[in-house]
Amino acid sequence: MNFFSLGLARGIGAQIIGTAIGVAFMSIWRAALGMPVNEMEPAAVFGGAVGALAFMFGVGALTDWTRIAFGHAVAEHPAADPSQPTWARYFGVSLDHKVIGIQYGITSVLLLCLAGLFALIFRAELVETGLQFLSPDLYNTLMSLHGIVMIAAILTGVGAMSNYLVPLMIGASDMAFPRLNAFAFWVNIPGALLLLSSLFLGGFDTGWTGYPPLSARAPLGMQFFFMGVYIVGLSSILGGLNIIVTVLTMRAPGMTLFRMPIFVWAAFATALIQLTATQLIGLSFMMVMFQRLFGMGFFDPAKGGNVILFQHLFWFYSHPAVYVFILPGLGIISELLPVFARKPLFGYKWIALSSLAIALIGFFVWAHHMFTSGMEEYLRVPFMYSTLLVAVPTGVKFFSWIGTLWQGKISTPTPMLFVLGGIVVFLLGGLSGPPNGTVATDLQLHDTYWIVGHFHDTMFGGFVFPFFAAIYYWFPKMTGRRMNETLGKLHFYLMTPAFFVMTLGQMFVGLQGMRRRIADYDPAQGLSPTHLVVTVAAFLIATSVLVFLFNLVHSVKSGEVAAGNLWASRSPEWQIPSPAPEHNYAGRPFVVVGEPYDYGLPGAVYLQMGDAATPLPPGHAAAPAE
Amino acid sequence: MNDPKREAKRKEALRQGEVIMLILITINAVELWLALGIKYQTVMMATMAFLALVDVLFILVYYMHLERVFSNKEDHS
Amino acid sequence: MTISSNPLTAAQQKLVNNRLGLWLFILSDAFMFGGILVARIYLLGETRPHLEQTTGFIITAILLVSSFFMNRAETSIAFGDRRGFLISTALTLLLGLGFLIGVVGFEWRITPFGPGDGAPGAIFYLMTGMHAFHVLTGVIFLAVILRNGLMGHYSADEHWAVEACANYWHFVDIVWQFFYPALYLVGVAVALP
Repeated sequence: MNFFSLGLARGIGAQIIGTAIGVAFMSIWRAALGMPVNEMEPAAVFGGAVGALAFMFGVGALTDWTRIAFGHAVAEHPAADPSQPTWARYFGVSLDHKVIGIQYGITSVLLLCLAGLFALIFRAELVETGLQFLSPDLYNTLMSLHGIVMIAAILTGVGAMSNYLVPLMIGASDMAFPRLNAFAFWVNIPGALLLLSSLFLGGFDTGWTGYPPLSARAPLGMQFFFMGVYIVGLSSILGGLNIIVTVLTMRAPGMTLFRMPIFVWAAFATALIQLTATQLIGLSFMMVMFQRLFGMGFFDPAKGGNVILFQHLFWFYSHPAVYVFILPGLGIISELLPVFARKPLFGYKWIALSSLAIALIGFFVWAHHMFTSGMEEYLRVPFMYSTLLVAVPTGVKFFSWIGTLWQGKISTPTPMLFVLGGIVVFLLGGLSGPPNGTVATDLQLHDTYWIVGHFHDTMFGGFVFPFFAAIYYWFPKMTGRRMNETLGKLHFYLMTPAFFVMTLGQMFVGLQGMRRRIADYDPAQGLSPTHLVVTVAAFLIATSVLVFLFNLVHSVKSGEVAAGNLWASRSPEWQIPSPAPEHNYAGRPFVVVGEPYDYGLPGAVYLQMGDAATPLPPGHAAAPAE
Repeated sequence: MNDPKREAKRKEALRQGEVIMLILITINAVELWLALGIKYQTVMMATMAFLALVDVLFILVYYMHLERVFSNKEDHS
Repeated sequence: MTISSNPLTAAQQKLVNNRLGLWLFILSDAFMFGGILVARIYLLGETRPHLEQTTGFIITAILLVSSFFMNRAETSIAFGDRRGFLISTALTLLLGLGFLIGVVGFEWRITPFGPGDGAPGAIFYLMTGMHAFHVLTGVIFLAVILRNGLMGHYSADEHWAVEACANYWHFVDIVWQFFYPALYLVGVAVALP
C-alpha cells in the first residue's frame, strides 16, 4: 500500500510544506512593507499556525466540513475502507469513537513516555550538585517540556477514556458529533509537534506556567509553546462539548442520569470544566503572544500593564485543569471497585454529585496558587477557605470507596491492584494538599520541591494509576485479548514502592529547602543523597513502564483470548462481544430496568438486552441506531 | 404559503422582530444618553451593566430562541 | 422511570444534538470574551481610552440592524419564504461588512494610538480585534448560507444551517452589547501619548 494513503503521513507532509509557505509568505510580506526581516518571530509564528491548519487539511479532518459548506451531502456513518489493513485505520481519520479513543490512548502513552524521558534526563542532572552535562537553559527547557508534554499526555489520556467508554456505557452508537470528535483528536498532533519543536527553537525557560515578564522575553521557543498549548486546548474544548451533548441526549431508554455508569458522571463533570475554563488559558497565552508580536502592553508595567492579571487568567483554567486530570481517574476507581469487591457501590448519588461539586468548587479556588505573588491581600483568606472546601467532596469519594470495599469479596487481578494503589497514592496527595492551601504554611512551602512531591502524588493517584487500571481492565474490550497477568503484577509491584520513594523523597528535600525548577543546589544543604535516591526511584518507575509497554505490544498480537464478560461486570459494554463491534449496539439494543451497581444482590437486574432471543418488553422500543 | 393561519403567524413573527429591534435601539440610545450625563463611575458601571443585560436578555429570548434547545422540531409554525 | 415513549428519528436526534452543541460552543466562547472584559476592568478600571462617540454609536447601530435582518432571514425561511430569506441574508451580510469596515478600516485609522501605546491601547485593539475576528467568521458563515440558498438549499423543514448562522450572528451582537459600553461609555476618558 501507498505510504501517503495514511492520513498521518499526509498530515505531517502538509504541515511541513504549510510551515515553509507561511514563513516565506510572512517574510516577503514584511520585506515588502519595509519591516526588519532578520527578526524571525512573526514569520515563524505565522508559519507555525499555517502549518497546523495545513496538517488538518492534509490528514483529511476538514474534508467533510468543506463539502458540507459547499452544499454537498456526506455519509453519516461511513464504513471502514475494506481495502485498508485494520491497523491502517488508526493512522487516518476515522469517525468511529472506538478508533478515536484508541488513537487518543496511543498518543497519550507515547507522550507519557516522551515526557518521562525528559524527566529522567534532568533527574540525572540533579544527582550531584554542580552542572554535569546540562546547560541551565537546556535544563529549564527539559523541565518545562516535561511539565507541558505530561499535561498534553494526560489530556489525551482523559480523551481516550471518555471517548472510548462514554458512548459504550450509555448505549449510544457513537458520539454526538463524530466529525468534531475526529477533528478534536487530530488537532492534538500538530499541537504536540509545535510543542516539541520549541526544543529546537531556543527552548523556553519559564516552566509550563509561562509567566510573564519572563515569558515576554524568552527565546522563540516560547511562542511555539504558546501555540502548541493553544491548539491542544482547542481539542480539549471541542472534546468536552462532544461529551456533554452525548451524555445529555444519547442515553439508552430507561437510563436516567442516576442510572448511568459512574464513570460517565466523572466524564461529564470533566467536560464541563474543559468546555468553559480552557478558554481562559488560551486567552492568557494569546495575550502574551500579542505582547511579544505587537508590543501590546498587557503585562508590561512600563506600559501600564500588570503581570498579576496573567496569573488570574491563567490559574482560572489551570487549577480546574487539575480536576480535569483527576476526575476521570477517580471515576475509573469508583467504576472498578464494585466489580472487584462484588458489592454495590456505596452512595452512588453522593459520588456522582461529588464529581460535579469538585468541578464547581474548582472554579473558585484559583488564587491559592498566588498567595506569594503580590496579589491583593484581601483575596488570600477567601481563597484559602474555598480551597479547603474541595476536601469535602473528595472526602465523600474516599468514604464511599471504603464503604464499597468494606466486607466485600475482594479479588486482586492487575486492574484492581492499580485501583487500590491509586486510592492510597491519591490519599497521600490529598493529605499533602491542605498545607499548600493554607496561607500560613503555603508562604513557607511555595515553590519548593514539597509542591513537586504533592502534585506528583495527585497526578499518579488521580490519573496514572487509574489510567493503567483502565488499560488493563478494558484491553480485552478493545482487542479481544487480555494482557499478561504476571507482567502486569510485576509492573505494579515495581512501580508502586518506587513511586512512594520518589514522592516522599521529593517532599523531604522540599522541606529541607530545595527549590523547584532549579538546575543546581547548594552542596552545603546536604541534599545529594536524597536526590540520588529519588533519581534511582524515577528510573525504577521507567523500568516498570517498559515492562508495561512490552506487555501491551506483546498482548495485542498474542495475548490470551478473552471474548466474553471477563470481569463479570454489569456494565453495558461487557454484554456485547469483544472487541466491541463497529456499530456498538446495532441489532442488540438494551433497556435499563434497574440500578447499575447492585453486585451481589440476588435477583438484581440492570439491563435487559433486546436481541433475537429476548426481545425488548413492549413499549420499550430502543432509540434507532443513530 | 396560502394557509391564512400560517400567513398570520409569519406576519406576527416578523412584527415581533421589528418591535424587539426598536427596543434594542432605544436601550442603546438610552445608554449613550445616560453615559453623557452620569458623573459617578460606580453608578455608571452598574447602570451600563444592567442595561446591557436587559439588551442581551431580549436577544437571547426573542432572536436566539433559547427555548428551542429543548425542542426537536425545525418547523416553527 | 422516564422511558421516552416516542423515540426520536435520526433527523430529530441530530437537530437536538446540533442545537445543544451550538449553545455550548457559544457558552464556551462567552468565557473567552468574559476574560477579555475582566482584563479591561482589571487594567483600566474607571478610565477608558478617548474614542470618537459618533463612530461608536453608528457601528453599534449597524450591528443591531444587521441582527434584525438576520432574524428576518431566519423567520422567512422557517415559513418557506425563500425570496425574503435571500434578501434579508444579503442585507445582513452587507451590514456585517459595513461593521467590519467601520471598525477596522475607519475606527482603527482615526484612533490616535496604536496597539503598543500603553494598556488602554492594548485593551482597545484586543477587544475590537477579537470581536472583529468573530464578525469576520460570521460574515463567512453568512456567505456560505447565502450561496447555498441561491443554489436552492434550505426549506421550512430543513434549515439548521440558517438557524446556526443566525444564532452565531446574534451572539456576536451580544458580545458587542457588552463591549460597546465597556469601551466607549464607562470610565473617564484619558488621552494617550
